[in-house]
Amino acid sequence: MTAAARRIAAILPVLFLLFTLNGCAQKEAAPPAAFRVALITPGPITDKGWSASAYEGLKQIEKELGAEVVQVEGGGTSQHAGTFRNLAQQGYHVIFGHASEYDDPARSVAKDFPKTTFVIMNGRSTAPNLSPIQFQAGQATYLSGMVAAGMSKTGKIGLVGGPEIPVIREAFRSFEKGAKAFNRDVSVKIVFTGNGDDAAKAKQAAQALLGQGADVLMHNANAAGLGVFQAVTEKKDAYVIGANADQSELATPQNLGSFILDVPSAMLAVARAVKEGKGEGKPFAAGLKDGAVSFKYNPKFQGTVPADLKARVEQARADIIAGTVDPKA
Amino acid sequence: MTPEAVLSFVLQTLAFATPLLLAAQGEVFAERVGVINVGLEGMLLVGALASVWVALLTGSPLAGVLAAVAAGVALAALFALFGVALRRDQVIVGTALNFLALGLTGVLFRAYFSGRTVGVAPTLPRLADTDINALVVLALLLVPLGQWLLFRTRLGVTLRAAGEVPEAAAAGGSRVNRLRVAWVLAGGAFAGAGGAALAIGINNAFTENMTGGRGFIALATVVFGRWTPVGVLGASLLFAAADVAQARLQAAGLVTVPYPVFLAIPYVLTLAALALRGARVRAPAALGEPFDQG
Repeated sequence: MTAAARRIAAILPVLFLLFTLNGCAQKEAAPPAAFRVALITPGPITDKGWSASAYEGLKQIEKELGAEVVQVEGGGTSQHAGTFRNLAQQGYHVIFGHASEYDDPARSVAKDFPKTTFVIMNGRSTAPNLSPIQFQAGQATYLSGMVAAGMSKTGKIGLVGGPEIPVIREAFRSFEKGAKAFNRDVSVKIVFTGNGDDAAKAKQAAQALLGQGADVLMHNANAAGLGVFQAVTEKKDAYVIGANADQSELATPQNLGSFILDVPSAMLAVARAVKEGKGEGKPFAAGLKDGAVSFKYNPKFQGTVPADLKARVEQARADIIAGTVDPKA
Repeated sequence: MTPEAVLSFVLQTLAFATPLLLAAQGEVFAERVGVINVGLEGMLLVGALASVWVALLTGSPLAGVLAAVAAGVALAALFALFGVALRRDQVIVGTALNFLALGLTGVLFRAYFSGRTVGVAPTLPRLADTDINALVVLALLLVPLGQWLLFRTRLGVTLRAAGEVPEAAAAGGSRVNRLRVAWVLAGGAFAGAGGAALAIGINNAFTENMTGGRGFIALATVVFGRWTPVGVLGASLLFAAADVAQARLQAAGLVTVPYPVFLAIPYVLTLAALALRGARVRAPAALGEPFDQG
């Protein structure tokens, strides 16, 4: 999110706060009859990515559950708690905080509003009315790893990460485990660039991996991942796997598929559980079982993914859901 | 290492040094004439967006480069207005411009690119399967030219005088602030071109904040390169080589040190250069000081 946009966005919750502060004696309004759901996004919902996917989830909640919904763009760090408090005072039943950075402010506010359920994307904390959605990205990257190992001719696979954060590290570990499960001799090398915006650095990392003989690459570097697709486009015998969303349109003929985090379906599942009184204050694991994470083949891939490889991937998917295969490394 | 590996290392280093080299080259002249332009990062960024946007619209990467230069000059003109003409604190003006550029490019990028399918931008023609393009060659050619201009011509003497003892330069008939504005604009052009070298030279698309701090590394490059074009060339190549090398070491699985250590290299070397070389590394005496021609 850009600094200027952040600043503009920051004004909104402040205004909200000013309007509500006069009647604010820490008294919780009686929740109205309708089921009401709020969403706080870290950026504008026009980003065609992270925040857009959450807004899509909110719209589905509105449609499927007949909920009354509102979306707020969160401001700077100092305003987070105020935004949560303000929405809770308005009697929202569920408040989604769509960034792991909302974990702390939500925890501090949640104890004052027992009738509101706080749901934090990739958060850590839990309380009776605070539950994070934890995407089991590793379940999908395990499958990506199998596909990569199955399609590699050189037996070398490369991964490009942005900042070295736990979420990305874990996803990569599961990828490696999946790749090795398919072919024990395959080598998986990782390059972190430390930056999710710097596409040139990601390209440089991808080129370094390709130069070492890797012929299948996957990224998890947000926007900078574009540099990885570009490096693959410039090397005709290499393949690439997309991250987090369906990225089939990038480096299309050389694109094997993407691992996908289905944010809307995870949000819908949580909202439904809360509406039905089943919000339990424990992490909501969004995995293969719920369809919240998946691996999607690219229909426009230039070659063919062998049927027996697809069958083994499908078997692994079933095994992970059944719990007989653990993608966590 | 095989000869091919060495060659590809050298070529990649040259390509990735170019955005840095262009921005730093312009900054050498700006600082020599007495202006510290902290807004390089922003100028690289507007150049990057302008190059992608115009290259996509016109289908011509050359038009993209020209647009990038124009965008860099436009932002530099703002800097010159506040930092030179209105004599505001140059560091603060530059910092403000960086934020302006970050916000502006983000807003424009989203306004234009949201809701439509964006293909890849046409890139500058490249040498075989390397990232070497015309801007890389241009950046290298500008080094000897800059060195000659700065130290072997009357213009160079006038320029340096304005940055060392502006009062004397003014007494000698120089229009100090006019010189400063001119070289700040030139610096903006160079940085804009550097943004193009990044966005349509190396990459083929714009991503928000894609410059990733290169403008700040360029500032360090100027200090480490001791305010000379040749020194800046050496420093850019060294920093780029360190970066390319660390990616390759990671790719080979040979790295046991955490990668952020490598990210710090340019700054650590710059501090070391300042500490070790002592008095021999000296910024222009009037650097960052506004001048009142009276």
